[in-house]
Amino acid sequence: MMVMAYSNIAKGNVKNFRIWILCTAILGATFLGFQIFEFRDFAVHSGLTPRTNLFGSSFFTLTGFHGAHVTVGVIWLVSLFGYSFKGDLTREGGLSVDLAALYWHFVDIVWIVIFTVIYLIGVSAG
Amino acid sequence: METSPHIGGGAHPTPKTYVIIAALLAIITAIEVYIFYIEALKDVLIPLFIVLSMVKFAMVAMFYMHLKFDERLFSVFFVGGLLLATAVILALMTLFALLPDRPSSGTAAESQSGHGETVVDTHGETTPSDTAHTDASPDVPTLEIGPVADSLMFNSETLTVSSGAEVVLRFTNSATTQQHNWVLVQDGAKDEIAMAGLTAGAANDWVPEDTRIIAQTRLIAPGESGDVSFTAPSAGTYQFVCTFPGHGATMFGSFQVNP
Repeated sequence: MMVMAYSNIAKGNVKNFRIWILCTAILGATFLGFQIFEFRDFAVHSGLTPRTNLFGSSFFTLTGFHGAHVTVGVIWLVSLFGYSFKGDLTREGGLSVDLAALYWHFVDIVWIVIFTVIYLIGVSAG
Repeated sequence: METSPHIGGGAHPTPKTYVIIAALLAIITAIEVYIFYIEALKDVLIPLFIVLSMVKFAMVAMFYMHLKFDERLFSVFFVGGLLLATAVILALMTLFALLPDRPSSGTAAESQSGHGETVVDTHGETTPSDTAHTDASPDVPTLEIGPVADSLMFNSETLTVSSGAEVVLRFTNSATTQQHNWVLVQDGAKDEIAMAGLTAGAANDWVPEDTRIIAQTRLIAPGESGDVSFTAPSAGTYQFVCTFPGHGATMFGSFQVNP
């Protein structure tokens, strides 16, 4: 999604850029929604909080900070969507979008590690 | 071939390449989730996950973060930082492995006053211990058990008693960080009861309401100990398990009742 947004702004296609950047932001916001649901479910129904045990502390610290970074990313993406109406983005050849994309994909890469360590290995190792 | 110019490096690949990468990432993630449930792969699961996630990591860094098409120097910075972080984590883990465990000293004394345990009769009904029960608890328990240091295992795999005997089991939690309990259940029920314990919550010491439960200790904090008294059930094999979330998979044992 993000790369499609970048690819379009680099070609000067602002209309398609707006669609893709919004899709990216919406998916990011969806992730945050799931995360809020998951946190609530763990804390209220399963009694897993950062104070419960080592897994609880690690889980909430790692995923919580990740969620904060995603939030920053979503704000960044929505801001870019707003800027696109001023026409600044096309003139500079999409550098701002590329920088946002680098941030966004780094957050993505971190999730690859968190997902593996917490959800796959952490849970299976019990 | 359609490419877009990029500052400081070569050209970006086409949108088609990005879509293919996205599909590959989705497939790898699906494989990871699928093999998570395959019992036969249990021993090789962790290395498999590490390899698969490294592949995903590399794909995102090379294509979406276009390191593959940038100046080599960027890759050097990226990989260099990564290696530094890995080295720091490994050094920390080595430190933890080398330093001896230091159990917290303050809590051990408190446990002596905490003998008012929840006692469960053979019909599985929970009754809070009253004075009669406390008086009945001798200072010398018939059975003693605890965890193996900070690992999620009991230090006895099998406990044996005679049917009808008045049993006092003392759980001494020698761990430094983990809370544990000891729950005696019907044979084969330990996984279901441990799962149900999750929903029972911390307020119930992670122990569900279940007729298959024969006896239980309260949740015992690191450095503390707790007793449970019960009459040994009819002869046969039973199971004991720690129902604290995540512990039941490895922390269990067999309870033999002789005729």
